Amino acid sequence: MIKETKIISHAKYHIPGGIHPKEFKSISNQNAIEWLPQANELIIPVPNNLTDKQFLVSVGDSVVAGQSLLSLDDDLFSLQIHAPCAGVVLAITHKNIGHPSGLPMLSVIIKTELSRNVSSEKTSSLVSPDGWMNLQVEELIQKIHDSGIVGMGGAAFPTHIKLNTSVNRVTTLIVNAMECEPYITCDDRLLRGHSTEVLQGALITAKIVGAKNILFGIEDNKPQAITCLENAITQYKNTPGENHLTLEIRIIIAKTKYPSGGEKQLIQLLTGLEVPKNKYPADLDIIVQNVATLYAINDTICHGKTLTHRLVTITGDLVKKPGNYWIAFGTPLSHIVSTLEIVSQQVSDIILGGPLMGQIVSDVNIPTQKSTNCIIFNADIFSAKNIRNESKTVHTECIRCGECETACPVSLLPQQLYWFSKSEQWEALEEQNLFDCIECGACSYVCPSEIPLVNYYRYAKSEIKYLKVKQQQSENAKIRFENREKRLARIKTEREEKRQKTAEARKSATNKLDQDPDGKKSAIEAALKRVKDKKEKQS
Amino acid sequence: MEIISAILIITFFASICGALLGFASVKFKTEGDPIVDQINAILPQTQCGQCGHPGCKPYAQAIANGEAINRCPPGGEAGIKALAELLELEVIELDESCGEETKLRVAVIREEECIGCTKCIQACPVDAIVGAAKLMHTVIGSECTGCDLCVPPCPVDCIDMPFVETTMNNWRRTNPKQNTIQHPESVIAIKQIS
Amino acid sequence: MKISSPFIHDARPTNQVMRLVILALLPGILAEIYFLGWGVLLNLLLCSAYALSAEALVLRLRNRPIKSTLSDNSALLTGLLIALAIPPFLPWWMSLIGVYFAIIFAKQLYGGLGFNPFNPAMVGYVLLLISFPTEMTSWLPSINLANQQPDLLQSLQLTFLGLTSDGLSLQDFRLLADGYTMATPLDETKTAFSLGLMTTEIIQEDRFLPNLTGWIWLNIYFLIGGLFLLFNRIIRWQIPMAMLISLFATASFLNMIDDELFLPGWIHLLSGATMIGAFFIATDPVSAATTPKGRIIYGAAIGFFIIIIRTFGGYPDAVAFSVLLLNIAVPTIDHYTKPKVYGSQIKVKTDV
Repeated sequence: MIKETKIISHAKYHIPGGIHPKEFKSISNQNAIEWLPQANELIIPVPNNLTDKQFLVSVGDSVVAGQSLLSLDDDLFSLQIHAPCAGVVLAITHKNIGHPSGLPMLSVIIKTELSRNVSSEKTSSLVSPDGWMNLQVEELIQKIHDSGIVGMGGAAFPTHIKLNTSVNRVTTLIVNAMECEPYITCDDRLLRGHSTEVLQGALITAKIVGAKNILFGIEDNKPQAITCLENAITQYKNTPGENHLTLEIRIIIAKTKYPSGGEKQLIQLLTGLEVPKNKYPADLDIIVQNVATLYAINDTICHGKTLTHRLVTITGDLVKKPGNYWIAFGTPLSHIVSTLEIVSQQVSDIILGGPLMGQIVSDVNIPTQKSTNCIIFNADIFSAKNIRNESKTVHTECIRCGECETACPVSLLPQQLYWFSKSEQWEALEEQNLFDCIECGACSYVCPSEIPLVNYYRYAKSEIKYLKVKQQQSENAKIRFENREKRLARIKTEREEKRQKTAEARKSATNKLDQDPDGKKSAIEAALKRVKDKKEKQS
Repeated sequence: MEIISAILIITFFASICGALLGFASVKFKTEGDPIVDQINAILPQTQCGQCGHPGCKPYAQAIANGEAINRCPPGGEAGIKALAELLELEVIELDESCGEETKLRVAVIREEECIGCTKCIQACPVDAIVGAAKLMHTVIGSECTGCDLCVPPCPVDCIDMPFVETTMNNWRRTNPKQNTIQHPESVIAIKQIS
Repeated sequence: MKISSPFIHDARPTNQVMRLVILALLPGILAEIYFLGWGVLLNLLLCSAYALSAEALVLRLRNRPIKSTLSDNSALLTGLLIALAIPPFLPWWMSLIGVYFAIIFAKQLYGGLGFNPFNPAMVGYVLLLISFPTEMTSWLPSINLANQQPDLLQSLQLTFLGLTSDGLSLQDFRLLADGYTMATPLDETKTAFSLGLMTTEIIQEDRFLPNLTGWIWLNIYFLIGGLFLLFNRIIRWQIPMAMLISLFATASFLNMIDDELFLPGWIHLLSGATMIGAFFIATDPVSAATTPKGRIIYGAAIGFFIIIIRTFGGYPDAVAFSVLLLNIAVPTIDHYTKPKVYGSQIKVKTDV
């Protein structure tokens, strides 16, 4: 166990539940980081509803690495998309990119040019490492926005939005170096190789939000990374610098447990605080960032690089050279398979992400994206050594053993959620806090009947949302219908009134005539006389 | 003698209970929704008339008076189930003679062919068509309920009824019951569907 | 939508869990055969056969796959538990009724494994107890009393024919040398109390302690099996611990009030079906409470009711009744013991 020092301490709190799956980290964390050779073709997904006008490039244009592809409104919610490598725009078309819905997404397809390993030219002016201290907070956030940085832990939430909502609000920056899912080792190797840059990124973030302390949360299965990080922090503290930020930097080591690396779980683990329902970490004066995001922030601010590559763990028993590679966004899986000599005939199901929260794809033509932190190539995901070596059992019925409830880190009752999802009792599901489920998969992992619980919860969440939308639409239609009925009724009444008024006017006119017999008579006589005179004149 | 005292005692207790119940029914009375409104809240408000009534509220009234609950195709199976639960009736199959349960559609006017006659505007039960006499008409897609009532009146037949497209914003996950197997003889744990 | 995460599992499948539970029963089974004779073995074989056949029959009627369902071993376990709960040499047709009722009515008609609200073994046992009270309370004295126990052939004859070839009936085997008909220790004490005897007198009785010793050993062997289950994490500690502590506490409390009218706690703890109830019956996952706090309440209430019914009720042993009573209460217990979900409290601690 690592000794406690001034910088290092052990976590005092715990998260409920959790599991301890086999880690399989040693497959991919033995070697230093390498660059994957550039792919011939890159597929960059963009939002589906973009029109031609919103593209800065068109088919046939040459692009340089880091070039912006979209023309955005000056709205801080939009995310810029860049070309990861230099090349020519081959097409802008719909392609299957492995979205869980199965829908194809509009994508820019770039045919890359030189097969260089390093891609960095562009964008903003080079800022010297300490020069960033003199930049304004708005400038820093703008640079991060322009570089297209998103959360690299897997959720891909735009970082500039997170920073904007945290400026002058938070006191603590928590750095998520936990990497609790099996197989994934990219954060581990990133810290082993680039702790200084990550620390720098943390300092930049701390300056932006005004944090007073930085906590690095890391699991105890990464001793080398802890050492590298400690050295980086010590070096920073010992190096004199006029503009040093006055803040406390500590490393907190937590016992390895899945899913300690979830944002809410990490906050609970390091501080004992729970993010209240429907609120955000910023409401607890905390901001959480992944180490890879901080590395990207440092790259952008201190080296002027746009976010074009990320570290991806390539692992699995089919990979001859497993490890962590810098891979450009949009690299098709087929390129990875051929470059790393993965036996393509045996590849059937590829896991993007980790084995507990990742996604299965079987099309090798889909691209990696900003959220892809790991790709697992296993011969057969159901008979790999990590599965029990039992004869495969089938999804039998729930025996109400309650193991899932013991494993849930959010203290939900997965068993009840399962029974309600199956019987489609949507109200009961909301009462059981279905939407607090973080879909970590711990419950399915321990289920003796191997029920795909997370599958049921995802379905239930999607149905509840759909029904709410449908209900809202029905309400709208009802209101419009009722308004229309009122309008038609109003028109009818108005017409009635008008008709009645004219009828009455006519009647009163006739009455007046009746009551004045002489007047009437003389008028008629006068009229008759006129007619007679006219006739006589004519003849 | 004992019989009389037994009868008196039982009567006494019965009247106490009755008084308590009466008091409770008055003191704790809840003003609930009249049943017609509750039924109407379940109906999909398409106002299409496939049930044979001119709108959803009249059908809700008819159901409250005893009409069958299976005459609403846009409400579909889920609607019948919800009505059955509310009214404590049996779940029955959708009445085929009223129509089929299909995916949601929207009306789209082929604008080049529109002659501006306003017949469709008058037909739409939710005022989802914008336009005026001799001017072009168009359907506000988000308000259209897919009821089909605008199609027959159009003299130049320029209204299409395509299915609502599944996009990133409205895609739904499939029911796991469709792609998991329980009690099977096969060995694949979970069946893949494309 | 393709297969959903997670893609790794590490849980013992249901059939393996059931197999391990059956394995854990083994010490107790062997002990019971030793103390109470071949009749126990016969019952085990018979009831297992009945259970599997009952389940197969209903599955055929329900058009469900038979082999894969039977291989989850839950019917077998139910059969074994009933076999251990009923007295040896119960007529074969009585155990048939009991097991068939348990499997068909208390399990399959609700939908099969996972759907039954009541513990099937206990339902079967209670049906038999209420319908055939005399036969269901005709236990043999344990072997310590050195009286004659039927051998294998005689056991077969007793169970199937009611009489051995030499004309002996079950009652004859229950008679001791001095003409006294033996029963279980709990039954003995109940009769004795109703006759006005005091605890000390009962315990000092010649025949009582040897008989009790046999049952104590039986309970200890079931306890060993139960601890095996606990340490292998097949069952969780809440139910057995809560039940045993509550049982001991209630009995001791009564004993403290008047130790001549109430048995001491340790006798209750180690006699009758206490240990098998604590580790094998109350822990049936399908019918027990599910939340951790709920399980403690469930177990504690069972322990409490066992003592109450044993002491003040009409039956000598009460594990089955208590378990069934609490099965009814499980939905309510679960509803009121939901754990606090993350983020539902306003603020916890604050320390960075």
